[in-house]
Amino acid sequence: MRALYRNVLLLCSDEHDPRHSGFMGSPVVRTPHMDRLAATGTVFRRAYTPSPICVPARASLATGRWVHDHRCWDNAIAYSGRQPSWAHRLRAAGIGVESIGKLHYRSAQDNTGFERQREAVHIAGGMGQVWGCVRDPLPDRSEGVGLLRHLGAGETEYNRFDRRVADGAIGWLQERAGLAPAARDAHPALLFAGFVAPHFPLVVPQEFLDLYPPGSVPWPKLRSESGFVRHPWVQRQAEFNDLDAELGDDARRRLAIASYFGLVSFIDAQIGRVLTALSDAGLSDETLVIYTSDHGDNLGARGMWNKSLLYRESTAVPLILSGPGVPQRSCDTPASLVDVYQTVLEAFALPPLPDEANLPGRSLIDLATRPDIERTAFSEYHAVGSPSAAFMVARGRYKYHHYVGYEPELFDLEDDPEEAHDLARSGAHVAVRDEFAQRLRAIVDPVMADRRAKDDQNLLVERVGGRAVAFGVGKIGATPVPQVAP
Amino acid sequence: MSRVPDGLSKVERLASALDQALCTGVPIAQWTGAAAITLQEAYAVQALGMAQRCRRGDRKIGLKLAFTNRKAMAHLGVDAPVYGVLSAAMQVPDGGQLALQGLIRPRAEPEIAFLLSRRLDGAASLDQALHAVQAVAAAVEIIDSRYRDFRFSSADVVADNASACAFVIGPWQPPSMELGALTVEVELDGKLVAQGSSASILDHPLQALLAAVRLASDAGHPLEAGTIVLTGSATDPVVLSAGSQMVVHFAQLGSVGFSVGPD
Repeated sequence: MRALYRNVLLLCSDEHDPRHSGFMGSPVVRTPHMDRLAATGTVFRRAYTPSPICVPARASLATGRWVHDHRCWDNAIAYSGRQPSWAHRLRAAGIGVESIGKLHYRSAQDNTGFERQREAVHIAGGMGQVWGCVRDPLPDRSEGVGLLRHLGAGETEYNRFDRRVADGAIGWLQERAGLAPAARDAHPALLFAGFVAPHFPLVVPQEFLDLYPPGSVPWPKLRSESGFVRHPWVQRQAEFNDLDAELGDDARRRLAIASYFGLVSFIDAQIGRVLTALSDAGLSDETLVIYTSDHGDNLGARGMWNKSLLYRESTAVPLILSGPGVPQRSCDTPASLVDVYQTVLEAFALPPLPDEANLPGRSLIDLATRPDIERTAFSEYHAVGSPSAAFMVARGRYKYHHYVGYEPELFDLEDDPEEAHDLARSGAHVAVRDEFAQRLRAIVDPVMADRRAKDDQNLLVERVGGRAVAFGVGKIGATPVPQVAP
Repeated sequence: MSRVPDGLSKVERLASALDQALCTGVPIAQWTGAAAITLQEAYAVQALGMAQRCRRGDRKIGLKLAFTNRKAMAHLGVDAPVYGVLSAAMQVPDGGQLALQGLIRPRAEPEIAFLLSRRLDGAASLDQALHAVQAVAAAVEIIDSRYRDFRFSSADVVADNASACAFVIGPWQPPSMELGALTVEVELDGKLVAQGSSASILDHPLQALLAAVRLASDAGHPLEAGTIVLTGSATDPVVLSAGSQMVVHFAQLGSVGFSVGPD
């Protein structure tokens, strides 16, 4: 069967909470290029990551499986190609499949399906953040790794890396355009372009920081000074690594927010360069473009930074699908990064193999045209700073959070989109809470998944020399990117 | 081991006293104050007691956990499970009769039973434990404290073989079933007297199995193939009386029942 598209361009940023973008209604953050892409396609307004931390989310993106299935639980246990990915499938079908930039798998030496990986970023040293595996039990405190030490105007290796990723994507498009249409038809191809912004370090070129005077950025919600009390599981994370205190004062908190916004606009500019190249190459009418991110960022909400929580700041991801045949619309069907697998298959007209038909995802191309508002979204977290596993189930107006060993949370996203009022103990919502608990159990046994994660993590901890040694291994804030001589 | 005037150590005296209570059905006082024992001493008492049973022709066939019900743990002020030993003489067939002679104040607890097909030691992961489970079944454990008025410390309970008295196991099932949230209903003489969930058992019955493996290994006795493990109760205990009939339903895991004999 002939592919629907000759080219698929999968653009993935890192840590982009979609609500900080124009196409999702932000009155502050400027993302003109993403907005342009959104205007030509379908925006999934309720898209979630399978896990609010890089490595597990990306393993799910690769395999189309939930984290408790692929068992890449945290930033030290990464995708190694053990389970098949869509990249394997495309390659086996003779479809070109390349990457440029951040994948955050285990190693470029692993066969993860790609024919070629340029500027590849994987977990540091093939080991990653082993210290985050020490969580059975979770130590009282972490000394922190200085995630937010550097803020404000400047230029980092991350910024330069993202420009090179955009350059590489542009080059790939130009190469594709250099082929005859018949050759592109005979040899369709996909490029995965993995950017690292707006992931910390929150340092951004001055011109982008200038868009957001720190004094005027919106102040984060649900902070303790307003009387907000965190859920105990979230509080335990805060005690383990108090990034809010590490920031020091409100001026630095504002600068962190402004810098993050600046990085969103910076990455928007890089994506804009790629989209312009797509148009200039004359490939727009045969290319499917997907823009997404691996997870979001708390950005000070509830006094929390970074990600790792189940609230939408952490678990929501941008998801735009644009290309010939994709309707121009906003879609409230819950979607997930695991849907990318089936999307890629459909884009290249590859019928699912028996194992693939059992994957939890659905093609976004299909969902864009046949909405399913009652679809269930799912996410889970088993990584750094968490005393136990946490699971999210979102469906219709409700969003349910299950924390192993702690009380659950329930939010009505229609009445309370900011997740400020927990309804889990509301007598009027007992039936809803119980229904969602059942829905969760239909996907995963929470206690068993928690145990399996800790078993795997404990094994790794023992392998590197025990808890005391492991707690010092991989203490880096952001995964290093390749550097080039100036 | 310190010796007391009668020539027996404290551990030996307590083991002897508990064995006497077991055989006569006359409860003894708790070992409080100066006579209080440590958990380590308590397990030594338990081992002596079981050795005495084996000398009378009984044999060990499994392990039972106590203090795995979160609610009960909070009520009793304990934060970790303990174990006792199951012997062949304790088993009552499914549908059989529990003889009351020699019992003090028996109570029944709905539990889950695991049957192991492989050896498990303390370093076992969940997946290794699952691999070692040959079968799983609905079960009822009958507990009976040899202390007066069912009052005791955690160490007292351990010394008394974790109140082990008897147990009934329903039909063994393949271990493929999801065990984490099974609804439990306890009927006594046709009336529903207790309800609960398998999630009450250390949040998940398999957590109880792992706890049993760890506790037994720490004591130097890894669980061998063929061992039966009872997980601890999914509900509050139900007091038994002469002539009554008990049936426990564990959702898709099945049912198990027994009758209580005359006084």
